[in-house]
Amino acid sequence: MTKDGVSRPVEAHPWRDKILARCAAWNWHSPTLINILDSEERVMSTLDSWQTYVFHEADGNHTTEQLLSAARAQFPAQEGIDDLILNAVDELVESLKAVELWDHADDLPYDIEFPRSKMSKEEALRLMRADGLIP
Amino acid sequence: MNAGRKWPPQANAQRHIPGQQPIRPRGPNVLQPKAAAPQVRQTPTAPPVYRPQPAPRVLQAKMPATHHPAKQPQRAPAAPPVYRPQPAPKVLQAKTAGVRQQTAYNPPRPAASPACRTDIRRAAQPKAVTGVSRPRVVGRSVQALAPPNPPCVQRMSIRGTAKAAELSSATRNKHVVALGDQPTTAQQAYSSSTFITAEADILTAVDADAHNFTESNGAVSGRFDFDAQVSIYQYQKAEVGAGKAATLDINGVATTCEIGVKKTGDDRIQVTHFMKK
Repeated sequence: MTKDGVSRPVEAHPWRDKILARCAAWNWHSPTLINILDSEERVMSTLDSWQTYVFHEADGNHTTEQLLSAARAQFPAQEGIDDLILNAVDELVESLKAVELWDHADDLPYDIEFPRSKMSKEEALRLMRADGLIP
Repeated sequence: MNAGRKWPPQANAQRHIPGQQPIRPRGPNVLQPKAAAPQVRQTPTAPPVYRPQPAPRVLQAKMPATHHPAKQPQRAPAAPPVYRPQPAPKVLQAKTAGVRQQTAYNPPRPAASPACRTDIRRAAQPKAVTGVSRPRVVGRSVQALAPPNPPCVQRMSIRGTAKAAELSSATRNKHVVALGDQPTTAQQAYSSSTFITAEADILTAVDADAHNFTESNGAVSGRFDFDAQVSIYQYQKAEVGAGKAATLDINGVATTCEIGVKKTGDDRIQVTHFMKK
């Protein structure tokens, strides 16, 4: 749904073919919600459930359209699922800047791939160096 | 006596500036004989030495020689002997010595490379198939199919040794879970989970493929994705959230999965991406 309250099909969404990739450090706020962290790992914001879903699935390997298809399959009874997902995408990309749009699928850095509770930034960098993914 | 004779000349000598030549004593004596032959002064060696022609000739001859080398470096640096087109053809010819191989390989290629997406690989796979017995053959055939002007790249198989792939830390962390731990791990996850029980489940599929895609020297390559059959365990969640019930949907069945690999620039092949297709 646009800011004018008009529902829009994903086919008309300008980012339908873009890869969604989260780009912010994060941690679990609760079993179903995510906290976005700043560079000093302070909580910047807590995502709502749909934003959490989109952020979690923004793994650098799926387009907006693919994400929407997956959401439709996983939440068949949810009304207005398209608008819920697309609004969450818009907010994460434009307002929170916690998700980026890529043209090609790729891997997330380890410190973005995993929540801080599972992997610290130092550990992530160490592992990426060990894997030869960064100098 | 001596003093009387010497004083004048000394006085004259003192008048002269250090840089000036003493004309008195020997000068006259020497000059006279030389002056006696005035032609000698004109002809001396000076004129020919100062002629402009000789010097320019030397300079001109040297200049071109120096300019050329300056231009050559521009060509040489980017393409060391390794990248020159000549060596490759030579290798190709020698290999094609079994010209039959190339012609014979072409047909089987398409059938032999079902999992590959890019043309380069497919071209290489067929070769790998023909050279199944020796990885070296694969590398050679890859060279034969390489573009005419390859960039500054390297292909693993060209090094003559088959590189075994390895899982990246992230891939291992997310997907390799012992069978007995999978239910708990899946339930703790936020959404659906895809597991394998051993790294070999993925690595076997990767190693069976010819990873003949390019990478920049010393830099991580782009990710190359391909599909392969892998035995997986997938847990689905009807409701997202950690702690929510997860049900086993695929129980160790060979399933089409997408595998992404990168070359790290130091002769390693890392599996950095894995998911059920």
